[in-house]
Amino acid sequence: MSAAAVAVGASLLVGGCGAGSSAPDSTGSTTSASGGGKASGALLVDGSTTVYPIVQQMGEDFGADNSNVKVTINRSGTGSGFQKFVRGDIDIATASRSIEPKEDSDLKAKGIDYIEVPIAYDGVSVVVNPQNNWADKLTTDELKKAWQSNSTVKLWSDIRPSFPKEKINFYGPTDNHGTYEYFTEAINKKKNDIREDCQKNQEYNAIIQAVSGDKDGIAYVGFNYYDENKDKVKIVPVDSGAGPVAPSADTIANGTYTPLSRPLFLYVSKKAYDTKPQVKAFIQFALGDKGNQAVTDSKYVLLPKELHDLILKHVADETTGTLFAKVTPGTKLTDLYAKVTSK
Amino acid sequence: MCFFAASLGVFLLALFLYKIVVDGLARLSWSFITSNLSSRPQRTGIWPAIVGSTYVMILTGVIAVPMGVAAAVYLEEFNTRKSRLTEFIQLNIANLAGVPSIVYGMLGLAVFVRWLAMKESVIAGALTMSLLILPMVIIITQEALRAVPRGYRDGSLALGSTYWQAIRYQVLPAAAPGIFTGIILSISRAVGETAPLIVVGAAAYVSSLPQNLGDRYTVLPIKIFDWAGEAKKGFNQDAATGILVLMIALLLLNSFAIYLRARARAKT
Amino acid sequence: MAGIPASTDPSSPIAASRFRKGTGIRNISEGVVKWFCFACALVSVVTTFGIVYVLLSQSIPFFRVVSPIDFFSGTVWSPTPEPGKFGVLPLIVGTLTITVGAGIVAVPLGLLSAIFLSEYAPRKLRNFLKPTLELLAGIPTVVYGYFGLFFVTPLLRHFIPEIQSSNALSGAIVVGIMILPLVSSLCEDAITAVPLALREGAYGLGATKTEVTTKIVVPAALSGIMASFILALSRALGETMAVTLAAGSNPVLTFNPAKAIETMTAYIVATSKGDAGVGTVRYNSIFAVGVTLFVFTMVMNLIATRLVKKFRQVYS
Repeated sequence: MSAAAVAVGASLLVGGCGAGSSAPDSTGSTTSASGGGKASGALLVDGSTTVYPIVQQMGEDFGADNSNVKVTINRSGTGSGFQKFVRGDIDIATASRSIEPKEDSDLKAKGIDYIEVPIAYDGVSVVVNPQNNWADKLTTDELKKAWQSNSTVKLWSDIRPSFPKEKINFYGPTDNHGTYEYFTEAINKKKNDIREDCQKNQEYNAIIQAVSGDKDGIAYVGFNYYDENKDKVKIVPVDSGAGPVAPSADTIANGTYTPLSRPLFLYVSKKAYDTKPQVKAFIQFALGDKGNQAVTDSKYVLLPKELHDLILKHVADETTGTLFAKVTPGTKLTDLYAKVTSK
Repeated sequence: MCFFAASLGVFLLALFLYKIVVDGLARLSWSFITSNLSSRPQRTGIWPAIVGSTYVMILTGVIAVPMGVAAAVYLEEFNTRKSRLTEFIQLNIANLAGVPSIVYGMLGLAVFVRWLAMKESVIAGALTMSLLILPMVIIITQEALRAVPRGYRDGSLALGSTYWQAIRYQVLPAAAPGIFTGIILSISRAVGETAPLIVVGAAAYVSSLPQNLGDRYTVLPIKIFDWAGEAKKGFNQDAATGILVLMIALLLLNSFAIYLRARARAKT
Repeated sequence: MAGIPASTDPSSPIAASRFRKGTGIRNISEGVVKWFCFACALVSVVTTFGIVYVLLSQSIPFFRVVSPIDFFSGTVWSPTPEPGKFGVLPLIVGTLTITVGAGIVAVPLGLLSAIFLSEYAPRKLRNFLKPTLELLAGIPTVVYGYFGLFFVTPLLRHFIPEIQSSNALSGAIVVGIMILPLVSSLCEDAITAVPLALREGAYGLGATKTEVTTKIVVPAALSGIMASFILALSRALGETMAVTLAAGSNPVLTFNPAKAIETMTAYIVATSKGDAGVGTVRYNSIFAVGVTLFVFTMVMNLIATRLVKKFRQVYS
């Protein structure tokens, strides 16, 4: 008898959920009620956790304009996203690094052509404790000396004699983050090469927490995490030869914050782009004003207009393949795209 | 002394709860519960996650509970000659109870998502969670069955019932309170698990609610985890609110099950 | 209906098998039910085979590159920079530290709570506390992780100033609190299930309440209690999200509870969500660690089952 009660209760719940499927759109949405966009169908996006905030906003706003499109966005990691992309399970793979040779050849083997779309810049930021009043800037050489895998640096004074003689504590993301790969390649000149005693943490909020509680701490995080925690950590301007530069929207965009400015990507399958109108519409959306809004709202940095236009052309031409196979951190992207589109 | 221990546990948890409530209450509102997900912390709701969690939970319960109780019944009641096979099954189950949830995620990915081509759907998630909680249901049910005195079975059999009749009308009702505890604990566990569902493909963002078994979905603990790790501080607070919602949901769920258990206990 | 032979021992369940012979509808449906239950029990075996297959099939390529000896005896776990060092001991020690630590927290507290709830608490208090504890069993593990990070560690910092932001002690405490409701609830069920007659018999012989509880009730409920400990410790062993946050993602071999560590499970989650390309050694290391973890839980359960059997024999 009680079992029957459970069954009735359960079916009511499920039935109720089905009826409730027309949940109201997020209140205060600037677009008018159910957008009458013509696109319909499913849009599947997966990949980098770094790029996720951007595509989530893009997906949400796109979905508000095109209410018949079922948008699904996941953040299982750049590598994982590529894996699904190779399997053909998703339409768009997001990445905080450019595609790797193996992933490229896997896609070729499966006959999947892709269009590579950089959509934003991120600036990897070096942060220290707010009470740290000595590290007002660091050169790239000093950073390399401290962070490389065979580093002999143990005290702050080992980096620069004028620094205090106190043990320096290194924090950073685990090797599962694109930020880790990028930082090591840009600073230590060797991918994934970093000192063994760097305390790694999977969550950026935990790294911020660690540095804000440790006077002698130093860490590197994505720009958006620094920007949201300016009250907890202090930024260290980086000098790569042309004077110390602190990361900001401007310095990252115009390339003066170097070599730690890196591009973020969308990789879209050409087949999906051609055969699924909702995918094409989404990419156009992402490269439009609302897409730009998503980038800045997420505290990432817009690509400069010149570069943006070159990329628009790149997409319109449906040029496939990657341009970043041999690109090292610090390369001017405008030159890269100009070379290709002028062919 | 025992009171001290019991209350220490409750005290720590109460402290914890207090912090959550303080952090999360600000954003808790009907619109938060019923709105769609958003990338703007101030506007986001949690409705798709609630729906997703509910679907997964119901499906998991429907799959795992009957299977678990049946398996426990087999091991305790039908099986009287302790054969090597049963020893093996028993050991197996004890072992599976300790396998980390992430491994079930990997199994679910390989079997349900890929091999059976269910993709990253609600049913794949539910099947994975069923496998996860199955050992727990079995073990707790077995203990509950063991606690029923022999007299119940033998009296029934002596009166001419079949084995199954004895079980169904005497043993199971007597063991029901313990079995309900098992169900409560297992389903609570299923609702709160994050790692296996991440692996099996529960999404971070869905623009619409799952309507079929094959649809994509998201669940409450994943949203909580995502929001807690976000850079935007507003989301960190949303995470606390999400936790409140989850706990309220669990409270309702558990209360219902506890009511059933109390009724069952009153009968014995 | 068949007559019951006089030689039948009425307390033997084998007597019922007598009724299974024959093809009446009663016996067919009985057979069907039995086979259904058997099939359900077999699901667990199939699951194990599935897990073993999935884990082995992808860890074998790993062990072709990294020798098992290096894997099991190495003290440095550093997948990057390539080629990487894959000594799993730091992860094993990390896992054990958390499990043992959590057990120290949860087992005594949980058992005592259960005794209090079932033997000493007034009904109203019990009806409130037990569901509350069970509710807390459902809090997602990630929540405990953040609790450890933002609450427990700062608290511990008052006692241990040089404690790291994520550390083993915090992880152990947090996981202990997490499994506490599990231990408490199951022990409480086990204790409540002890027949009243046993208690009353002891009282009748002049025992005090404490004596009844410690010498009669708890031993009688021992198998259920031990089962709860095993379940809880297994859960602690397999805990993932809470330890990632509270205890750290830093695979270092240390016995210092103030330092950050990494458990096997945390490593698996982190890496499977990460950048490692499928098919690389780093990716396959997930499965090698998974196999290790699986073997570990198996060994632990074997030991525990033996123990439980020993205790059960004495009182059944």
